[in-house]
Parts: sequence; C-alpha cells; structure tokens
Amino acid sequence: MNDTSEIVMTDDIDITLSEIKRQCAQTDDLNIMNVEVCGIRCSVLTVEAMVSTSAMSDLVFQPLMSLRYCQSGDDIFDYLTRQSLLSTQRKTVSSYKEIFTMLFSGFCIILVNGVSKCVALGIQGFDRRSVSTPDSEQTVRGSQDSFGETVRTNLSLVRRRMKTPTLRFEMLTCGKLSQTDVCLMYLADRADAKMVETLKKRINGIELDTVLSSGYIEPFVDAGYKKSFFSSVMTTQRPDVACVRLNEGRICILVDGSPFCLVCPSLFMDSFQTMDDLCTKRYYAAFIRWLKYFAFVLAVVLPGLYLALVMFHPEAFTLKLLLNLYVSEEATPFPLAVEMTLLVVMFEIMREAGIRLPRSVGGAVSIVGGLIVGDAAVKSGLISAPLLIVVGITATSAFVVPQLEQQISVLRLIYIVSGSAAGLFGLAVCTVLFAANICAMDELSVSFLAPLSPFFKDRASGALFRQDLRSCAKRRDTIERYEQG
Amino acid sequence: MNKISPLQLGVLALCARCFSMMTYFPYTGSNTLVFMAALVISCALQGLMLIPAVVLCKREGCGLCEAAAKRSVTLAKTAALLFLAYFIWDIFATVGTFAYFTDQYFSDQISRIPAVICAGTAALYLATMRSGVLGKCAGIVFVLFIAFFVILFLSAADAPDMSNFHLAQRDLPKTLMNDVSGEFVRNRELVMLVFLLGDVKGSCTKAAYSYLAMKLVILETVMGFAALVLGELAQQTDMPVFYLSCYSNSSLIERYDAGFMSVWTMLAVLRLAALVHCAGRCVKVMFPKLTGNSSTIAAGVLPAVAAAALLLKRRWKTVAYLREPTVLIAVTAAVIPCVVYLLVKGRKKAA
Repeated sequence: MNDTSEIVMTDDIDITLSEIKRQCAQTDDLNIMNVEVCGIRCSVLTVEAMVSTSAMSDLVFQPLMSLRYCQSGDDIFDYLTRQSLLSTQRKTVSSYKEIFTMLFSGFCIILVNGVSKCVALGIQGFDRRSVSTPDSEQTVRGSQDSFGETVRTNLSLVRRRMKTPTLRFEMLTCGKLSQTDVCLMYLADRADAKMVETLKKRINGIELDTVLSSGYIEPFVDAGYKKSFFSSVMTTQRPDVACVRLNEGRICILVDGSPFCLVCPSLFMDSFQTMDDLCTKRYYAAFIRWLKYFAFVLAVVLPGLYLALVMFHPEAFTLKLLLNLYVSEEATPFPLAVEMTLLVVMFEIMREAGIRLPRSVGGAVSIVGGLIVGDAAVKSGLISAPLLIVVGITATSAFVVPQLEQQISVLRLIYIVSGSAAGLFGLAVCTVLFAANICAMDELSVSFLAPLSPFFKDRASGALFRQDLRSCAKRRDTIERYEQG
Repeated sequence: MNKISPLQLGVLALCARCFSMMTYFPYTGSNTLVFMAALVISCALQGLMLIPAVVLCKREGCGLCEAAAKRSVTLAKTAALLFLAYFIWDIFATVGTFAYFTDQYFSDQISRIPAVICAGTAALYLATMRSGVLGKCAGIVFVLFIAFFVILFLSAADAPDMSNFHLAQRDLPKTLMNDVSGEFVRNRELVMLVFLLGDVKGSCTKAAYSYLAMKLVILETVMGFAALVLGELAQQTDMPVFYLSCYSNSSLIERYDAGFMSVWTMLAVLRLAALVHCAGRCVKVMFPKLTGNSSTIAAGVLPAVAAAALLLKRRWKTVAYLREPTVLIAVTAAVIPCVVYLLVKGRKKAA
C-alpha cells in the first residue's frame, strides 16, 4: 500500500472510489456495492469475510433503502451520523489512511456523493476462536477461561472481573503494515503514572513492519531484554491472573492476534504463584510454593551437581552410594559428561516434538521416548540407571515451573558443562554469574528479586508464603513500593 | 545510579571478610577464648576507626571522593589515587591468596591458573555492575554461606570438646594484643566499606555498624564452633574452617570440603568483584574522560597482569601469609577520611 496520508478526499464519489481502487490495486477481497438512495449515488465498501452479512443487511442496507426524503448527499450523511443509531461503533472518516485502517479492521465504509467525508460502521463478523480453557496455565479451582486472539474479546474478559471506572484501556497501534491494536491496561489509582507513560513511549517507538504476537513487542517493552537471562516481562493466558496483577499496580498489555497478555514489571517470585494458591489453605499453598522453588533448583542444578560430584568430588558420597554409582557407571561405554549431555539433549528434542505435534501424537512421543528408548538404553548398557533417574527427576521438576522453562533448559546445559569441566568450582562461578545477572534486573526501577532483595521486611513473607487475604483487605500494597529511587 | 542499602553494603563487606575467615585464621598460639575476646576488642577498635568516614558521609551526603571534590579536584584525585593503590594491592593479594589456597586445598580437582582466570573473569563481569547489584548478589551468596554453615554445624555437632574454652594464658595482655593485631589486619575490606559508604541510600551508621555486629557474631560463632568440634586442632591450625568441613559428615554426605570450596569460591569472586569495582571508580575519578566500563577493566587487568607473573613462579605463599602493617588499613580507612573531612569543613568555614 502506498502512503495515503497526503491525499485529501474530495466530494466526488468517482474520484474517491478510483483512488481507493488504485491504492488497493487488484485485491479481490474488496467489495464495493454501488446504490442510489433518493437518487443520490452511494457506495458501501467492505472486505470479504470481515463483516457480518446479517448485520450488514439489518444495519446498513435496510435503513438506507428505507430513506425517502433526502434532497442532497449531506442529508444522507446527516442521517447516518446524527439521526440514527445503526451500530455501536460509528466514526466519521475524512482521510484515505483512516478509510483503509477501518476497512481492514472489519468496518463498513459508506461513501455519499457530494460529501468529502465518509461513515465507518463497526459490523465486524470475522471468524474468531471462542473463549477456551488455558493450555499453559492449568488450575484446579481457578476459572477455566483464557484470553483469545481478539483483543476486544480479551478486554471484555478483564472488564467483567474488574467493574471499576479506574480500569483504563488505552488502545495504541503498532506495526507499519499490520497496524496491530495493542491495548495498555492499568488501574489508574494503582499503577504508577510514570511507568504507564514510559511503557506508552516504548510501544509508540516500535518501528516494526508487522506485530503479529506479543513476542514482537516484548523486546521493546523490556529495556533489559538483551542483557538479562530472565525476562522482566511475564506472560499470562489467564484473565484472572491479569486482574490480580492489575490490582497490584502493574500494567498489562494485550496484543491483537495473541492470546497472551504481557505483565510489566514482573518479579522472579511471580513464576512460582498460581491462582490455585488463593483457593487452598495457606499452609498447603506455602508447601506448594516451597516445592516449586525446590523443583526449580533441582531442574537447573541437579544434572550439573551430579556430574561435579561423581567426576570431581566422589569423596563427598557415602561409601555404599559411591560403590553403587561406580558399578553402574563402570558398565557404560561413554564418558559420564557425554552421557549426561546426550540424554538431556535427547529429552529436549522429545519435549520439543511433544509440544509441536498434535496432542494425540504428542502423548505417543512421550511414551516412545521416555519408556521405550529409556528402558532400552539402560538395558543395553548405553547409559547408566542412576543417570536416567537424575535426568527423569530433572525433567519432571522443570514441568513444575512452566513459566521459566526456557531459562531452565539453557541453565541446565550450562551447569552440565561447567560441572563437568570444573566440578563444584565451575558450579559456584556459574551461580555467582547468574545471581549477578538476576540482581541487575530492575525493569521500570523495580528489582526483579523484590521483595527479597532488596529486603522488604513486611512483604518478604509473601515470596515464601501465601499472603493472608484478610491482611490483604486491610492493606493496599502495589508494585510501586518496590521502586528504587 | 550507584545506590546500595545499608544492609546490603554491610553484607557485601561481610562476604569479603568471610572469604578471609574461610581461607585461614592467623595462628597466634593463644587459646580459643582469648582469641574470641580479641575479636571483640578488634571490632570495637574498627568501630572507632570508622567514625571519620561515617561522619564525613553523613555531613556531606556523598562519598569520600565526591566530598573531596567539593574542596578541590586535586584533593579528590589524591584521595582516589591513595585508595586505588590500596585496592590494587588488595586485588593482587586476594588473587594470590585464592590461587595459593586453591593449590593447598583442591590441587587434585582444579589447577590454580584456570581457577584464577575463571574467577577473575567472573569478577570482572560483576565489577562492571552497580554497587547495588553487588550488594544484592552478596545477599544471595550470604544466604548460601549461612545455609552451608548451618548444615556443617548440624553435621559436625557430635561430642563437643570444651578444653580450649579458658582464659589461662601465659602473658595474657601480650597475647591478647597480638591476637587483636592479627585479627585487625585481616579486615582489609574496611577500606572498601569506607569507600562505598557514599553509595548508601539511608543511614551510613547503620551500614558500618551492622557490618561490624554481623561480623562479630559470625566470627565468634564459627571460631567457637570450630574449637568445640576440632578441640586442640583448631588451636594448632591456620585453617580451622576447612578442617571443620573435612571432619563433618552425615548419613547422606561423607565430607563437606567440596561444599566448602563452592562457598569459598563464590565469596572470592564477590570480594574480587567489589574490589575491582571500587578500583574502577577510583580510576574514573582520576580520569573522568574514561567512558563505559573501560576504567573498571583497566583497574582489574593491572593487578591481574602483575599476579600472572607470580602465578607462574609459585611465590604466592609469601603473599598469602604476608602480615601487612596495621597502619596501612588505619591510614586508608580512618586517616584519609578524617583529613578530607577537616579540609572540607575548613573550606566551608572560610566561605
């Protein structure tokens, strides 16, 4: 599409139509219906499969055809814009750029001869996926609906849960060609105005041609995206989680076409919290949270630690355990580090295959990979049983914290390499490096490790235990408290 | 912006001190209780020594070099030069100690040259970050240190040997003074603490004295426990903590020296990083035109190059066991802040 911003619309419908046709060239999905209303030429423009035909018939054709006493194009235009309520979304458009934006967003454009403006009516009727259960964040007792691809449907999912006038939705547009709707959501009385402005600036500064999912804007929203190993922008598929975060003064971003909502800024401990925490007893929620922290450590460190201990520090094992390990490892043909790396890489391959394949086949991959190949490898003496147990525990632990699966996968490999190269010395150096990398994250001036580091006495327990809902009702803490000056 | 909370700075300095504590206790020939009493006196002296720096930081609301710059650029550059010289010496000594004790403790697991290169590179990466990041990182390492020692103590608590806990000592005052001095020179991180006080967001007093209080508790606990578990050996050896980790065992783990090495390495990296960070900032005061991380890299590379020559010649024992004069720490941590404070105050009065 050429740049249309400079060209001014005229009141001659033929010139307007020819300009539109010129801009769109020979695109086949543009429908132009010409009609005469009270003897005045009008044109109705739509895009194929983007509008509802029944709504179009009821809200556009019938009212237009029933008009009897119009003397000029201005009368028809006045009727459409002031004397009737044909659609909930109605806009007067006076530039070609706007015409195309509205047209390709599913609006119907009505041109009237003798008027240098046109009317856009929202009668969208494109196919959309219905609200379904969240795939990536399952809960037992939480709600079972998730965000979909249509941004306006997603807004309604949030609005239904937050019936407050302070909930603000700000629509921005990203992508020079895709003109994607990006919605900034926040509670005006809780979110920090400076944070909102900063995010708006960052989103408006995106100069991509297309924005097709939330992943496109994440690097622009997260200032430390390149330097940090972890992400300070969290994603969620659940409207209830988005509402919890909004209530904490965070800012959510929805991108049209993406079923994931970005939450800024996010904290490390967010990855260990679920909606189920709020539906269970506090002691059980605390137990589960501790379990998740432990699973995270296991998933990252266990294979590297096993290698480091077996290869460099066998004296740390008790004699019985050492003899057992020795017997198992003695029978295998590969060096221990190679064995472990191969097994972990194989696991990653199978996991990736399981994700990309249809669900029915994905299950089969797990059975073939996990049971048949694993069992055969141990029986044939290619790998040792303790090693398989270690990788099995590691893999299962990783599933406990799905939010951090990318980081876990890579960190695990790094720990394997450093553990096998330098034992616990290597692991210690790696740990300090990653600790420093995490500590350096302070997106929007909020430390990623808050409230543990820097330490907030009254909020630190929230990282380890679930907050008491009664105390939450009394006190209104927002993310702003963690801001560093 | 470089901002660190009082507690974070205290923990950062404490981590640096814990590295020295885990490396070796200078053997003085006194019994444990006398040494523990000496620790209290030494901490009290350090408390007095920190007063000029704390007062300067409180009155001027900024760091030592920034305060000196209020008087004159030359004064700021001179102060920075003196601190830089001390930090370079400290980096050099820390690298040397780390290399020497890596050889002493773990020569069968990792050789000292790759160990120093790895730890040095990691420290350089950390040093390029803000002091607040180092403080936060110190918090994590400190938690690991505490966790390790709790496990160690639980695994070692077997049959306590109380025979060392008495004050019967020949020539008690002299031994006590000897112990105080011996403990005092192990606190090189005081200079780092003084230098970073200006970064504190909050009370400088809290930062300085929380460090001293935490240090006293930790050193007393570790020393006391090592003496309880190891008995006579704790008194005879320079490395009681290392021996404690070798002695401890449980039904799951036979000995903890590998764990000791991990925690010790983390503390070494952190100490080196903090020192290189401070040295880098001194370089920046002296050469304000340097941009980015070049000053930090320059500050880190200088002592590393000097260390490389010694690394190849195995002369580290001299450096590792060198007992530097007490006056060196006292001058850098107390006299320089005192002089700067008086000069700045004098200028204000004149104005």
